[in-house]
Amino acid sequence: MENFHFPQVKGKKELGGFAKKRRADQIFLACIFAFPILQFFVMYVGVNINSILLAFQTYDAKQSAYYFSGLGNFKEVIRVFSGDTFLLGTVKRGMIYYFFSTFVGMPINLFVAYLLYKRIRGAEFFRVVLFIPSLISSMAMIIMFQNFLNEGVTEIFLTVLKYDPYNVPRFFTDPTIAFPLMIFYNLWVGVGGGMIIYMSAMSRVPVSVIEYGRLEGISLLREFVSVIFPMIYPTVTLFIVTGLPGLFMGSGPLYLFYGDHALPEMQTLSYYLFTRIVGENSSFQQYPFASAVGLTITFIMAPIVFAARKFFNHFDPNVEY
Amino acid sequence: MKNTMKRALCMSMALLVCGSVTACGGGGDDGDGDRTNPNASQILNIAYFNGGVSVEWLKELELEYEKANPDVEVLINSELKDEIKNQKLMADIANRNEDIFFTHTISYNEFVNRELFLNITDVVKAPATTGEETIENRMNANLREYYNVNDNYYAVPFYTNFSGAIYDVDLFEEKSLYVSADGDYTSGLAGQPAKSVGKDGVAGTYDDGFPATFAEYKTWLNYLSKTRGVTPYIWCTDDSYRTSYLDSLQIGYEGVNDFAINVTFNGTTKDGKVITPENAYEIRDLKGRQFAVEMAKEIIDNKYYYADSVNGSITHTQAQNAFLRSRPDGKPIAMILEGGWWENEARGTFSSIASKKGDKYAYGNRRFGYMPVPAYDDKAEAGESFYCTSGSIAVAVNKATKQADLAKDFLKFTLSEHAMSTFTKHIGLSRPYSYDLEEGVYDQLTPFGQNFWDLVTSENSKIYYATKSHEFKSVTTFFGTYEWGWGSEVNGTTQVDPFLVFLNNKSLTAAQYIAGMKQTYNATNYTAEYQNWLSAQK
Repeated sequence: MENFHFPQVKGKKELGGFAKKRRADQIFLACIFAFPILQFFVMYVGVNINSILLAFQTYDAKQSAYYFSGLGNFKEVIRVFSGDTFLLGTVKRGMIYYFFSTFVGMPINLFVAYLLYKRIRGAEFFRVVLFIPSLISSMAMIIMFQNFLNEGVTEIFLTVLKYDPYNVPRFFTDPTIAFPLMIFYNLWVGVGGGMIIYMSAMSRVPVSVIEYGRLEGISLLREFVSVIFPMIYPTVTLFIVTGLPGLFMGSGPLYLFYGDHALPEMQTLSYYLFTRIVGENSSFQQYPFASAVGLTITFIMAPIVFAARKFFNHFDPNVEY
Repeated sequence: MKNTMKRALCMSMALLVCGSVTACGGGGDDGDGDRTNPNASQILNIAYFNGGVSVEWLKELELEYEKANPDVEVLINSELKDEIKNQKLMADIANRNEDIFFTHTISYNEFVNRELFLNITDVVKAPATTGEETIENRMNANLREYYNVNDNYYAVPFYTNFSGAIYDVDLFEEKSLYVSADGDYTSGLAGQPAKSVGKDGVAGTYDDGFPATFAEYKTWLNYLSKTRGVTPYIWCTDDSYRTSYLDSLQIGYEGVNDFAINVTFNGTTKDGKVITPENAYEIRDLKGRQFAVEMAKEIIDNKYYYADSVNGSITHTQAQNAFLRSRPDGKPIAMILEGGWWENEARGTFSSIASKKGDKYAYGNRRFGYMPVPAYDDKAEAGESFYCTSGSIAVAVNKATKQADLAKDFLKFTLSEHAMSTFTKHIGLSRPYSYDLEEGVYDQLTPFGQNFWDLVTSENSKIYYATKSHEFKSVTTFFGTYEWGWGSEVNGTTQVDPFLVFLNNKSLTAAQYIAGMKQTYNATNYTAEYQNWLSAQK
């Protein structure tokens, strides 16, 4: 072997068998991914570039065309959000959704995922039941939910509890009931998706570590806090960091429940902007304002997200397995 | 083998991702599957918005047209809804197969500016058939101004409709709900006390037997509810039905001229107030709004409504169903807040009730009418005034049509007096053009249809078609969709539905709601926004 030399070919270098195969694989992959990549550039990059450009334009209804108007939309954003109590209210409600989904929803997801991971009695049944809302069409879920409350529960109030028809709880038109109900619905349908991700992360924890803990006689709580959580820490913090943009744009499925007619006391900023783009309240005039709001939030949230990532990385136990 | 499997899997996944390309391309149905005349060499495709105005009238005209033009087949797609709503239609029309569109509410100027509709001036400025006036001259003057763009037409208005409280005539007679001449109540039938003369003070007119003033109306509502066991109102969850009712009260008091200023920002009120775009916020001081808000407060505070109407679950068809079943089921409801198309839309419910309760409940055998608006004070407008919200529901030809002449010919055919009479015969509404009903058609109308026709053609009725608003009003970030109408600042939130606001805030008074209506659109905010808009004008 030591005196072996590869053949020297002058001119065009001829590929060996392995290199040929590798090139063929690369060509194949390039062909396969060409369209999805093109789609990404058109539907994501192009759309976002257009959206950014829109933030610097104004719509001329007379000409049905946009024209460049500099920072006018951003000045409008500042003006509106510094004075409009309704829009500030939408921001506040969005934050409430975010806090509930992060600080209530996430712990519930973790807890449920852990119980299922530990295969408690009936785990399979609970796994199916809790995941069903994620499988069923959102619209079907919402219709069932509405009918359950408006027909079923209302009937109980009328026939069993003998309520006056005018005094039964108005689940969707009384904001003092509807808003907490929407938060509850959001938490409930969010359990399935988060549960699967966390369970998947937990299942990667080496069995030997769990067994060692069991031999040491640690409790379930100690196991979760000292073993499981540190090992799935990157997954949890990923959810928190990527969910941070929801601080301003958090929302329940308001449009699915109410269409264009959500109660003003229920509306979030996300819903407000969505209905300015889609539906009967929409118009081309509102696109630039909505874009400017989106861009403003991006400028505010980007440093917060990076700072949060740095913060959580600082506390990362860096467990390798 | 393993490599082949890997490649096959990659290819499948890539194809799956490419599936999104199916969303590209044009829409529309060329209707080949529904063809009845395969020998026809020309096919005309029509897109018809699937709403309350059903398509039977157009199908009758289709048969007539095809009989006169055996070489033509007309295919109507009447299953369309969201696909041909305003912005979606604007985006898709150039790629759609249909030649003619019977639309929902559209931004006409946008379509014209983007050159999406065919110029049909030659059609509009000519008579539809020999012996008639030109279509332009027959068109309502309000709408003519709207659809005329530099002396060209690119669409024509579709139909007339107004919303309001629609009452059950049979119930009023059965339960003696009419106001009698001596201040009591009566059925108004022969042998019973005569009806009162109503708001206009003249016997034998439309408003006989109805409360003349707001004070009388409140007493009457109490009588219905507490004495006669009749629920006065029912409405559906959609707040636009309630706000449309408020509009009908407002215009009923203010009249067409003053009401129009809310849209045009130009005019002089009957009190002598001059409104221009600079001071249009002052229009919110007019009493018509006050009247409407006080009516909403009265209805909510005294529970003069069907309980399910406010629990967020009742659709417009369910409300129609509940209203129509209420009398046969012994739990009568007096009025429904609806638009003129409601009876046609509820045909199925009529049949269903008739099959169980008898033919007297069938479609066309029950009597309904528009409830006259009482006078808030002695300055109320005389006669009946109505607000037509369908002025920008249009009929247009696709600029991308490949058979412009055929499309225009058919469009002209649908604009003849005969065609319009056919429309009214089937739908019970009217078209905003001058035309007479053909012989026998009026008698074929349901009582509600006759009531509608009588109101539209009465000398004492005025109809405002809201179309051309002032350019400043197009600043939707300020005026919104409903905010300029019934919006009010209540507890720091912009509310748009007085009914629900009073329901959720029992202690809020009508005066507070009205004060809130002037908060967003006060002099300072309005002037600043107006100056902002002016400086942005090119």
